[in-house]
Order: sequence, then structure tokens, then C-alpha cells
Amino acid sequence: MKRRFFLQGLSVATAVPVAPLADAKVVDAATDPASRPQGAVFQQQPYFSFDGTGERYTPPAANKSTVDYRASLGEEEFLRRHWFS
Amino acid sequence: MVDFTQGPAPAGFFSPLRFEADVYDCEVEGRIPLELDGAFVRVGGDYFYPPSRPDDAAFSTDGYISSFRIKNGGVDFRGRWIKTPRFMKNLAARKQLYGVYRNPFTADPSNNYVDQPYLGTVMNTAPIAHHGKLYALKEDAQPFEMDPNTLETLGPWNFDGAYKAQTFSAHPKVDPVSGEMICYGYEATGLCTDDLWIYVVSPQGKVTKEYRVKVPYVSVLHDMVLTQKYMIFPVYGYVTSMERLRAGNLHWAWDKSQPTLWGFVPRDGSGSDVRWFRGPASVVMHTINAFDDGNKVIVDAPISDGNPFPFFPQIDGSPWSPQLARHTIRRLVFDFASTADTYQETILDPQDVGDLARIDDRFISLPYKYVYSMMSDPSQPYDAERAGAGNRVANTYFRYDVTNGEWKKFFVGDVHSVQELSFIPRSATAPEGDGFIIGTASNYADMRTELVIVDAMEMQELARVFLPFRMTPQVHARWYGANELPLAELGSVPYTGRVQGA
Repeated sequence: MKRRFFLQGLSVATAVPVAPLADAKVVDAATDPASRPQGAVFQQQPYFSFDGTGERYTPPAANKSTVDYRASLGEEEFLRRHWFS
Repeated sequence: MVDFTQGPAPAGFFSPLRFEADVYDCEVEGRIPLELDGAFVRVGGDYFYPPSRPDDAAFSTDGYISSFRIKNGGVDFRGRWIKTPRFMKNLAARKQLYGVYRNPFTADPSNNYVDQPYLGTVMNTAPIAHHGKLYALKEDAQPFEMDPNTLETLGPWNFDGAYKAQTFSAHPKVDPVSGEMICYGYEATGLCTDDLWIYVVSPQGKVTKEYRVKVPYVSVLHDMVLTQKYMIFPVYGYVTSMERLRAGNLHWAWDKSQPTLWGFVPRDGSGSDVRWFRGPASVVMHTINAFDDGNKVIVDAPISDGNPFPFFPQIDGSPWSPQLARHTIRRLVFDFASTADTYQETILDPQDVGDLARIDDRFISLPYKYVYSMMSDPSQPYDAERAGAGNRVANTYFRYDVTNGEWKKFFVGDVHSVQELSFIPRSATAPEGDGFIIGTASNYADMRTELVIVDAMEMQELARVFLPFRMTPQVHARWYGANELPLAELGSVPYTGRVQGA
């Protein structure tokens, strides 16, 4: 496996535990809303919304800020710039 | 063992940070104006230990102070926990010993501070600089003095014993004419007491006058406004009682049946001279400015018609209403020539705005022109793929001219949400509005905090400072020039070890 693909796989793998946790909360809330308050954010302060009216922040499944940058690099250029990865 | 996995934000931008930080010579994009010599001081909070109950209010987080020291176009950053007795006691016990928001009845049984509720303060709301000192503020205790350079906690301060109230608001006002600081404490003599005590502090830091007022009902008196004649206090429908606290509830609940009351205390009078005006239910958590106009007093504020805070419950059990939580900039006119106890309220513009508005502080208590704040501009893009979905972001700084209704806006970014800004005049003699806007923005995609500096006339970006991490949530922040605080030169890493080649 080439290093770059290994890294991409690693980033996906590290993101995997996040998704089932988020899904589990949705399922709980659907079956018994009172038993599972919703994580919410108000003016960048996290809190539990018990009545479901809060605004929910769902973070990206992984850090996608460099997706475009990575896609723009060829294999050789990626390794040249990120030899330490 | 510390476990935040059951909290409201176990992952993502809002998960707890828990560290202190120093960043020397921060990464800067653009050019920081050379006129800037001072510090942008932020106070907010972050849980070091999870709260004792999941329904605790977000305002129970442990206080954290951070500072961007700017000089000669360079920036140093520092962040420190505010070492309250609560923080230190928790650290020693290695767990949360304190109860929910401002309710000592809900604390760990080993930790009784019902008769001294200020011992439960988290000191997480605002900074203020006056008489060359820097303080961190939280309205349930006296101020904590902070070292303006190291940001280490120097401890609570009662102005040589002359400040008698147990509490001190997060929003004192500094009169630009006299240089005096007008400060106050509500629930001044203990939990749920109806005492509002107001103090004047001289430019040298001495208490020169005290006023004692009884409020019509015990409510959050979070902010005030000042004119050259009056000290003005809004009272509105957040209510509390000892029964409520003994039952284990958060300190505040929203009661929409309560009227809004405005108390005017003449600066040249006493507390018994207070005059109250009465209006419909509303929330005036923060104010903009006020000034005298003959027999009238003009008060401007971002006002909502209902409870803006979703974590403070409605006393009637109804669900929180995002619609009633919306803020608009409103102008209130109080006529002292009339014997009526009512006032006139006008929405200056129907656009929704954030409630953390600022002005050029040289115009506090005086006629003025510009309001600066932030808003969520839905016409601007938001990259949910990179930044995360479902959050209402405040993506735009704005300048609003109260004399002609003109807006000028600056869009901060498509993965950003901004926090409270400050206005910095270009010089001490610059006309109103000629200067800079400074504030932090949360970059949800890159998981970092950015300090944004904008030309306040052109509303164009001049520079952006990048922290290599996300910083703790901010409640309030203020810019203080090197003429207001004894700020040190930009720092470097201190070294006391052996010297190579010596």
C-alpha cells in the first residue's frame, strides 16, 4: 500500500467511531426523547437541550479542511512536501 | 477519572480543551496596523471537570482568560485558567464539587457555601481594565484581579474594603468624561436578596460614592447604561427565589408574565431617588449606549421579546422559543417631563443581530453614531461539508449608524463563527468610527481560533492572526491599549539553563 492511501485510510478509520455514536443518539431520541437530551450549541457554548429546541452542531466526520489541497497534489509532490507523514 | 464522553460536546469544535497556552510570535496574514499597541483580552470558560448535572447552564464553565498582546505588528498569545477557590478546590479533589448554575444547594455535601455563595464563582464572564489594573468579572462575586502580562490570578479585590457588595456585575461602565468607573452588584447581600448596590470608583481606584437601591423583584441585572445624569438598570423576567434554589433548580427561570422595569438613579442623588419606568416583557441582557437629551433619556439596546438563553428554563414549562429569542436594535425614550411611568420603544431596524453590541467607548454616556456587533447573514455561504452542519453561525461583523440607519458589513468566512468584538480608535483624537474592529472567529473547519482585524471605516480586513488550535469559548472580550494597562514588551521563552559554548 502506498503511503498516501494508507494515510487516507487512517483518516477514515479514525473518523469511524464518531459516526455510530452520533447515530446511536438519534435512535435513542427517536424511541424515548425524554431519556436522551440533545447536545446543542448556543453562542458557541455547548449544552444539553432537554426540549429539543436547541440548535445542534454536528461536526464533520473527519477534518476535511485539507481535502481540496490533498486532491491537488500528485503522489510525488505529496511525498516531497509531507515526507514526515 | 475525567470523562466528557457523556457531555453535550464529546467531539468536535466545542469539546473541552483543558490546557493553558503560550504562543510567541503568532502566525499573521496581512499587516497589523502599527498604531495598535495593547492587548485583546478575552474571558470565557471551559469545564475542567464535567458539571454535576447534565442540565447545568453553559455559564457554569470554569473561567479562562486569554490575551493577544499586539505591538509593532507582532502578536503573542497567552491563555490561563482563572484560579478561583472553586477551580483550585476541584483540582485538589480531582472532581467536580460544585452544584449547578449559581445554586449552592446542589453542591457536593462536603462543600457547603450557601451563606457565602460568592465562593462558588467561576469568574468566566468579562474583563475590565481601570486605574491600571485588570480584573476578571462574574456577577456572583467581587472582581478577581489578574496580572495583565502573565494572566496569573492575583485574587479577589474589594477596593480596600470600601466595596461592600458581595457581588460585582460583569458590565461596569467607565465614564469617558470623568474617568470614573460605575460598577454595581445585585443580590448584593446574599442569595436572592433584592439589594442593588452601586459604586463610583475614581480613576485612581478608590471608591468615592455608594448608592443602595431596592429592586422591584429579584432579577438578573447583567448590564446597565450610563448617561451624564443617570445610572440606568433594566430589570426583566428572569426570576429566582430561595424556594427555587432549595428545590435544586438553576438560579434563573424565565417568567414571561413579569414586566420590564427600568430604574434611573441620579448620579448626583442617592439610591432613594430611583425612578422606575414600566414596559412589556422583554430581555435586555446587553445594552449599547444611552445619553441625555434635554428632559429625555435615550437608551439603545439589542432587545428580545422572550428568553434568549435556551438553557434557562421557562417557569411555565413551555418549550424555548427561538423566535422570541431574536434580537433587534431598539431605541427607548424616557420622558422625565412626564409623570407617566411608561416609555416609548422603537425597533430601529428589523434585521436580527447578535446581542453583544459595542460602541467606540469614548462615547459611553454621550450622543453617538455607530454600533458594532455581529450577525448571522444568511446571504453569505456556509460550507457545512467542511465546518459541520446544523449550527447557526454569526458570520458577519457589522457597523450600524443609529443616526441614518446605514449598514456596513464584513463577512468573516464560510467556515467561521465570530465572537464579541471591540472597537479601537485609530488615535485618542480620531473622530468616532475612525479605527479598527478586532475580534476572534472560530474556524470550524481548521479547528482553530483566528483573530481578525478590520478597518472600521472601510469594513475591510487588514490582518488575521492564526492560533494553531481552537481556544476556549469567549463570553466577553475587550481591547486595552498600553496606555490603560502596564503591558510588557512582546515576550520570548525564558531560559535559565546552562549556555552552550560558554
